[in-house]
Amino acid sequence: MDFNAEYIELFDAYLQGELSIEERLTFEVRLSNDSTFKAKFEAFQGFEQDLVDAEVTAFKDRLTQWDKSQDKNNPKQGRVIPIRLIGLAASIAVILFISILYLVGRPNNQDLVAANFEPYDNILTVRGEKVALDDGLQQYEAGEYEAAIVIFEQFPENVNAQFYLGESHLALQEFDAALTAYKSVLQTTGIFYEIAEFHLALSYLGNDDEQGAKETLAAIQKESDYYSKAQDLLGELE
Amino acid sequence: MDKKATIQSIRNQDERVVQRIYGEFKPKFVNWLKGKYKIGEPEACNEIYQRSFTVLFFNIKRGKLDNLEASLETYLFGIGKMIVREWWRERSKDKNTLDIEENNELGQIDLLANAFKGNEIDDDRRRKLGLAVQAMGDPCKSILTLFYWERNSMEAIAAKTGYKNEQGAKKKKYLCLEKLRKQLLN
Repeated sequence: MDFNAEYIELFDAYLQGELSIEERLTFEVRLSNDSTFKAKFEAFQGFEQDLVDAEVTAFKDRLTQWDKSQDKNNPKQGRVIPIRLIGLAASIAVILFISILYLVGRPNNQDLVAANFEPYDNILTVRGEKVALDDGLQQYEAGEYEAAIVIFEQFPENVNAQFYLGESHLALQEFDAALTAYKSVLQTTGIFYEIAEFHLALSYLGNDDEQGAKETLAAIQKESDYYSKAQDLLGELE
Repeated sequence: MDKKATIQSIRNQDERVVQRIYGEFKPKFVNWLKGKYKIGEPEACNEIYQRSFTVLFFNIKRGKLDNLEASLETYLFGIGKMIVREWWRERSKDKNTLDIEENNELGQIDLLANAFKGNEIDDDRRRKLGLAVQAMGDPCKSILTLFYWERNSMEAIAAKTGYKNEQGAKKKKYLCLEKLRKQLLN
């Protein structure tokens, strides 16, 4: 932070592009030849950058304070869904299922759907505020899918409602309705896109539309979390 | 509150709205980090969320998202992908970047990389500087916050702080910087 007061005006004029061409050239020559001058200039630049970033640091500190006060007010706040554990359990179930089926022959499509489908967790937890979808999500979490559907259907423009509508229909093996809901979700690239793609394929499969299922599975990109599952299922269908 | 109204409230730094949005997006964002990127440590999830939300906030505040087409949530998750990539790059030895598809609207995003760089000592230095600015009397406090934080031109600052012209405000800015520098050295 060691820069001379006498240079502030010059440094500022240079950084704001207010020097004439000649002055700028002179300045840059001095920067190249005079290491003390260069160090002072860099100190000034660093000081200004810190000044700009001070606002960001203060804002981030405020976020930490909000988190702390939230934790204090609500120690059991927000479900943290152990997706990794759910994934592990689901993988074991699928492996067991496939191993058993291997012994008795190729499963039918609905069995494959059952082996690969698990209703996605409600990740739309909103703390301290009730929103319109909450009633539907509560029913959904309780496994009351018919009641959840009635509520989700009231939000045809809401991509989150459409996703959980698809999940509810798929849980009830109402494949046509699930297809419609997932196709609606896939109109935009929201956070449910990848899971909706995979569950769209399952919906086709439930409807015995193997071609539709295969095409949907094949279109799932390597970057998707469901790529390996999609490849496994494709292998099952071949 | 619709998207435009939310963006306007955030631009106006309406603390209640900012805090509400921060709390509202967090559970979903953290679950997404755990599910998609297998980032399990709560501290890491928190850090990535805070950085992502900070980037969202400052890009709104600086008027870069006035014509945002995507939803705020989609945009925040887009920022999240880029922050995860940076976060991994900071921690990975080979410094490989991840192949993450980016939303076109994220092209011009300022990730505030400099503000997140460094360690606790750097953060402390910035904290001291920020507090020192806040503690300055006017017009220094106004001039410096309007210039460095609100990104006003010197012409606008002159008008807001009652200086006859840009040059007068500029001279005062130099004196304020010098005063601030001295304060921090003492």
